[in-house]
Amino acid sequence: MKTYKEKFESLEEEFQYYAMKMLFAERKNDRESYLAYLKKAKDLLERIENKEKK
Amino acid sequence: MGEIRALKDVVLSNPEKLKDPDVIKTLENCRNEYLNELYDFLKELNKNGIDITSLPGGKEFFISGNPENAFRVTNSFCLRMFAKKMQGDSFEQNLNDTFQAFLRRINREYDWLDDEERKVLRETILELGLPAAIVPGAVLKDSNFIDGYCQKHGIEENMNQVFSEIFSSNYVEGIDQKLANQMGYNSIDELISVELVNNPVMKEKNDNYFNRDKSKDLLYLASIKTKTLTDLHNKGIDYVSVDLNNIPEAGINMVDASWNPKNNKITTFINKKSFRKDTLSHLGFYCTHETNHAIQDHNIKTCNIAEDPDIDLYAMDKLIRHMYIFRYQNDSYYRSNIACFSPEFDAEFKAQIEYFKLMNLANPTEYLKQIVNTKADVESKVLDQLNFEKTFRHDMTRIIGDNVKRVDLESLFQTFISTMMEKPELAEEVMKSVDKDYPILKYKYQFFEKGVHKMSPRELVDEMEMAKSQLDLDAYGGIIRSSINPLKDKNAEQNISVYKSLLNYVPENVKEILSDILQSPSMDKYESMLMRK
Repeated sequence: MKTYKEKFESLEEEFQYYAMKMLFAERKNDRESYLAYLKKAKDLLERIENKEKK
Repeated sequence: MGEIRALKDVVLSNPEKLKDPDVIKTLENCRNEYLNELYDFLKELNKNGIDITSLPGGKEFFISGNPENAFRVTNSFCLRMFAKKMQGDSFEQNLNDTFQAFLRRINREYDWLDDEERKVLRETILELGLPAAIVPGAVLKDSNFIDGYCQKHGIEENMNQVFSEIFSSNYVEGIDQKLANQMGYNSIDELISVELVNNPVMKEKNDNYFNRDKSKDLLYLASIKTKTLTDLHNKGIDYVSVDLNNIPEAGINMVDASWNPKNNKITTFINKKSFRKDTLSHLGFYCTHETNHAIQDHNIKTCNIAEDPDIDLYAMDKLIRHMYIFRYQNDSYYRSNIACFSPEFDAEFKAQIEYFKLMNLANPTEYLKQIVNTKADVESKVLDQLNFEKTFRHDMTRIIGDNVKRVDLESLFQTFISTMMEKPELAEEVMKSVDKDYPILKYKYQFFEKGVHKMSPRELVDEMEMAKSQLDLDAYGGIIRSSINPLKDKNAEQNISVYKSLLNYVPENVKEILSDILQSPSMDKYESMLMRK
């Protein structure tokens, strides 16, 4: 069985995944993970927006 | 309670508030008040001869002033309370209220206690011997407590055992049998044994769950595709989410809530048999504390199927509880209609609120975009630093690489320096965080900034001398590599002169490094030039 992480079908889906991970890391007070996921989510968001502009 | 909740919301939305002395003071007061309340409550219990440890299991019972205050205790405990109340002792009512407040506050504010306070609370509860069925969910979720509980009660350190104990107190006479018969079994034990325990598929899922790599978890799917839920589905209930706050481990509640994305409704399942009629009658809906808040805070529409006579809600509830421990990792959360948070991530009711807020919107991406943008703004400096560090390390790797050419090095340094000049304070912070490679880079940076190609050999040697006390042997190697490197260097002769000066200067052990450099292929030409000189 593939994990969810391996099954992203779109940038949006990947963004949702990391945004949720970010929220959960925040809940767990895991700041290091929180920042890493936030950065990842933000990067993905920028990619999505750049894609939309094109 | 209201005060601390409001404060918590403020702090969560603006972490800077945690630095506010007034906020800190208020939090400390709330915490102290909470602990005092706890100790007073426990003291009063003992003073009034209530020995919780002697309470047997058996039927559960709800005492409920209002939905938010509901909690579950054993039937026997309730009877004691009522008996005392009937004797005209007002204490019990107060105790009742205090107990409700006590459990509620523990559930909501356990995360706010520091480690020592949690430890005291855990030990106090263990010392009292509270049965697992009435231990506040927040405490029960704490693995430290489970360990202590298992140890105290001499049970195997296995959450299943604790769950089983809790389940065993969640019993209404005849319901198990009814459920079993409905599903074609002679007893509930047989049902569980066949459907769950001895079912290789379910067993595998169970084993996978408990042996899983938790670091990779995001969400779990409750595996509840059983006859009962199929029946529910056939009755038009398409979406059943097992809110983990409703299972014993998480909160000891009797209500499950579901959200149907098709009609945007939340359905609550009520164990109506466990409520007194007068309690049930005035409730529009009844939820767990987390779900309740989510609904109240966000005005999510609900519907109530508690009065549906065709659905044996208790049977379903009980089955879900049993099924819970057999949940397995789900790999398609967003495509699933039966989803729940794992306990690790569902620790705070805030997560539940986020969940409902998220799922209440047609487009989760849009909602998450807002969250990510807001948080990215708040953390902009830190994220900048992370970005900077990433670039910094990348450039540094190239700069200190053996094969970098001088022309590239110059370009790299120029980029690097201009980046640093843009954000000197940030650069300084990042530089400090860069460990063993930092001295080399720092020296290279100074070295280049001063214009190595414009330096006289003497100046260069002076630079080296200055660096001598700071740099280790590897750093020497790095400096030398960067100062004498490219074959296309127009200032080759000058560099050779510099190199010779260095040879005269460096101590014996550094000469080994120089020899290594000389033996590298890229140095062949230099070496031959050097020899000719």
